[in-house]
Amino acid sequence: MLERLVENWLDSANERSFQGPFCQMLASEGYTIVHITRHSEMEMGKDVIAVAPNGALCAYQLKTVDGPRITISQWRNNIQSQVLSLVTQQIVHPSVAKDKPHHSFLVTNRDIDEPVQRSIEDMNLKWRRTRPYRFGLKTIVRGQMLQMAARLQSGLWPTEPGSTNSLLHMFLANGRGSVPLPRLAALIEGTLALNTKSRPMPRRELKRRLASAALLCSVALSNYSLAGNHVREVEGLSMLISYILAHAERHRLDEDCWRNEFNVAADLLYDRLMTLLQELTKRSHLIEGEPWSDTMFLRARATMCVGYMSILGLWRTARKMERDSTDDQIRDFCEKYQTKLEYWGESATPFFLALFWYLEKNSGSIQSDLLVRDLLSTICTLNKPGSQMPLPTPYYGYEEIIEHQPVLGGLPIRDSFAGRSQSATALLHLLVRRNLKQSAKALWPDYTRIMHEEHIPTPKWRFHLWRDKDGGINRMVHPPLTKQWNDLRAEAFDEKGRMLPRLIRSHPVLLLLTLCVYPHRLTAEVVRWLDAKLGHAWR
Amino acid sequence: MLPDFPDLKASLNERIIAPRMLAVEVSRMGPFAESPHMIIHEGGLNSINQVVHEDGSIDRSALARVEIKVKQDLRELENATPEAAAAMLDKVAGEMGDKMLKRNMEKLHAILEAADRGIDLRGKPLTADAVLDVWRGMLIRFDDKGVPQMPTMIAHPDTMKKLLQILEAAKGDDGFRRRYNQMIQDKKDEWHVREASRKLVG
Repeated sequence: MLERLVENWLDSANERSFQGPFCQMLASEGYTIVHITRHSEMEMGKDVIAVAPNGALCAYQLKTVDGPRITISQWRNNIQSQVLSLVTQQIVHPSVAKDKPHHSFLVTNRDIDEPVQRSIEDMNLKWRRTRPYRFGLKTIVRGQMLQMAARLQSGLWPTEPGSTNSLLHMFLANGRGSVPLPRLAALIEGTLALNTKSRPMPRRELKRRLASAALLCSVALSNYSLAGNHVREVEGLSMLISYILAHAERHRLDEDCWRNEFNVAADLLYDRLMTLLQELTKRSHLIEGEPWSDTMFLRARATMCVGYMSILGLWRTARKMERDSTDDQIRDFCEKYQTKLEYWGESATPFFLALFWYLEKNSGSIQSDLLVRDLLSTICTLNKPGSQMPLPTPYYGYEEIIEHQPVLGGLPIRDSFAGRSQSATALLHLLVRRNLKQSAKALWPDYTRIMHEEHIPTPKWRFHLWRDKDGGINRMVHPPLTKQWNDLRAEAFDEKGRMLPRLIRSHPVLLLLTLCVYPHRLTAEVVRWLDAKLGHAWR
Repeated sequence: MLPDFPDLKASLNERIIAPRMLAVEVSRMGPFAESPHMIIHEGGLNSINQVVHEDGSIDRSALARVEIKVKQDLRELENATPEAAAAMLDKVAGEMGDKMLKRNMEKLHAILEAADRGIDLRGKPLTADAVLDVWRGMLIRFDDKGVPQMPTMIAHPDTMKKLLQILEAAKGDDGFRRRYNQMIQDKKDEWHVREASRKLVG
């Protein structure tokens, strides 16, 4: 059944939606992906650039057409000129030696008509006589892609009914809604066998399981990709990255066992954020889908988009990318919508923190400080004991909260939120780290009336799981009524981030992205560590 | 299999049966019925709960499983009216509530014992002043309007009946009323001092 599913996926895919799985298949065969295009005018015929296990430089152009085969007219009208660029234009990329010749591949999820094959052979004959282009053009067609996918199978694809069910559910989704994250987590966990307590698996099997999970995740997200649902793709890819690190940490894998899949997912993630920016820049409004009922959801959408764009801005800074018009677009979008945000519950905190760090780096005003102060004030007010409209804990995402609204006929959530918070301590520590003593003093009495909670997964690799269902520490803190400022400062400047697993520590921006998807992992300790990496604390 | 209606049943469960069972369960939990209902989303039975108190002391405990086993003859259920079926579920929920009450009382008792907060009347009869002494040793909260939030009293039904009679009779005693009002005033002062101490200093 899974073979048929993959065939079905491949036949319905477009270039964008098979880009991710194709890259994961290359990664699983030992290729190092050095570039994934964002389908802009800059691609110069090369959608993917990779280095083969033997060191050969490879460039890939991904193409799909209407109908089962690429016909000669489609070839002449739409593809030939791009293939010319693919083969003849040098690869200019910081990770690639200048003037290094490359192998060129036309990758399609269709077959190729005979006249097209002949045309390619003719072109190859000419190219072989010219040294820089001597490798000519090779093709990877539908059948070869299916074979690549089949090589990953070998009984490692999900066998549990739950995982298969999750895969089918997402594969059949129309891609316009949200990714069912618990299902995606179940699919990946089932494929990686993360919760299996049986015998240790050989390294080779662990590596193949990871490649399978990465491919399956890409296939599961393909309809979201087809629909151009960038935010949901970002969520799914963030979850995949988290699980890649969980697998690597749990089995103490060498870097060469997971690095390729990780890099592909991270590059795709960056690409999707860039594509989201392109769309946001082109749009004159944020209304999506059926417009009349959309006004209720506009602010939440703006909050997510501003959060993700802030992360993109921070990512570009972390990558030390030269400032260009992209950064101006990010700034313009965040400026336009930062007053139209919604704090629907504590699961929104990571989006606001992303904006906080972005503004701090880019605006130079006190806006960022005010943002944190106002958030903390909101939590202290709304979540005081006995409150009639407390904010839900981060375990409740936006849609779950809205579904329970009486106006939509929902039943109240059977969980008490008054007198509790998971984000307040993190926000208080940020205030202290900015030396906003008067604000901290003013909010302290209300802060002490709330119980502050966090879950600390043990062992640490379980931080990356959607839910740590087996163990860990549930910590509930009643703050002392009186506290010395210096003692609070000492706590607020503890930046060791002890609960964080090792590998994610090299990727603070990805950790922030993870928190947007896993808001329940946001604790004061994690935020202090992130602030040390992304923020400007006042020592 | 026979035709089933899982989605409809899940909806019925969520909207009618579970809230009803919870209401019955909670109604049997006595003073603990007023406790907030918190869902623990992670960790489960193998997790450690760590409570850090205002004074910095830390309590550690594990979650405890409270369960009841139900054996239901489905032939009996087949012949039951919806009201009778609901009564069966109420019985189950009630038993669960009783078990939760028992478990919580044991836990409360253990905490009080450990904290040495027991008051021994040493054979003397229970009096209104003895109750006053208990209140004197407790934290009494006041609402925004200054109304005391008196602690919940838990006792055996016979003892409770007697206690209420004693307190009712003491209402007519001017001396007791004066001592009671003084206790409340002291507690209010204590509360104000406590609330005023919520500050960051330095």
